[in-house]
Amino acid sequence: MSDSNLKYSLTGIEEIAGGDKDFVLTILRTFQTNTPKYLKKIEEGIEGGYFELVGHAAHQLKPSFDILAITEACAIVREIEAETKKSEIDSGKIKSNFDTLNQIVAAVMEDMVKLTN
Amino acid sequence: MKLLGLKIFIIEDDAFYAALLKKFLEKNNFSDIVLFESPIDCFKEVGSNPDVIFMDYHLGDVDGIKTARILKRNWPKTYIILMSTSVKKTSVYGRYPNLINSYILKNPDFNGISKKMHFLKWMKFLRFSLKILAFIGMIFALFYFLL
Repeated sequence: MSDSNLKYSLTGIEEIAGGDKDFVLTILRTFQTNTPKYLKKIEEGIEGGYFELVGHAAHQLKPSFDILAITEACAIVREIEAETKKSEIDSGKIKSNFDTLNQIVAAVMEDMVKLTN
Repeated sequence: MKLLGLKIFIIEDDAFYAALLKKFLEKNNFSDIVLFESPIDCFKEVGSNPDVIFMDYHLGDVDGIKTARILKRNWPKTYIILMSTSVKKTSVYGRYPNLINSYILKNPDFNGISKKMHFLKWMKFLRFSLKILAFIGMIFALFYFLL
């Protein structure tokens, strides 16, 4: 199931799955369902100035990005989370990071659909 | 042998990581696993007797330490493993040694978990064996005094 051209890596998941392809698909579908929810929360948080919500949602995204080796997205959510914890929050920086994150996730999702559909 | 297997609770609101952890544990021959999305659901299982609880540090609005306190009150002998994506957060493990027995980082490396779990399984087997030995010893002692 692994493909070197993918924008994410299935190595970690496949290792755990031990050949259970249905499990790999279930996990990817969970990612496809959950990630947009967290992104929506970040978006709402930015719009409403609820940076604690932004930080929490960004935090929730870390393990899946980490396990799927979406390295750039991983670094961005870490930056977003760190920014929300500062005493003087730079909302412009968070917004710009969020836009980049959206683009990366969209590309990953596009790749992933080929496997899960 | 179910008697010597570990009963495991996982409290994790991230369905992605919870599913991966459960699968990993099953692959390592741990089959008695219950998933909980929130600590509240887990607290309701007060009649159960888990050997190990994996607990996410960030559970929405619920404070990780408060959760660990209630878990330890319900199950004082249960081994509690804190899960976090941040090394900084795992340092709470050192600050609350009576509440949290160990920690794991939520990253792609699951091998550390496997070693920990097999050690706990071995300890449970050892405790069980000692109880059996003590029981046999008592029977012998009883016969000795009776005869």
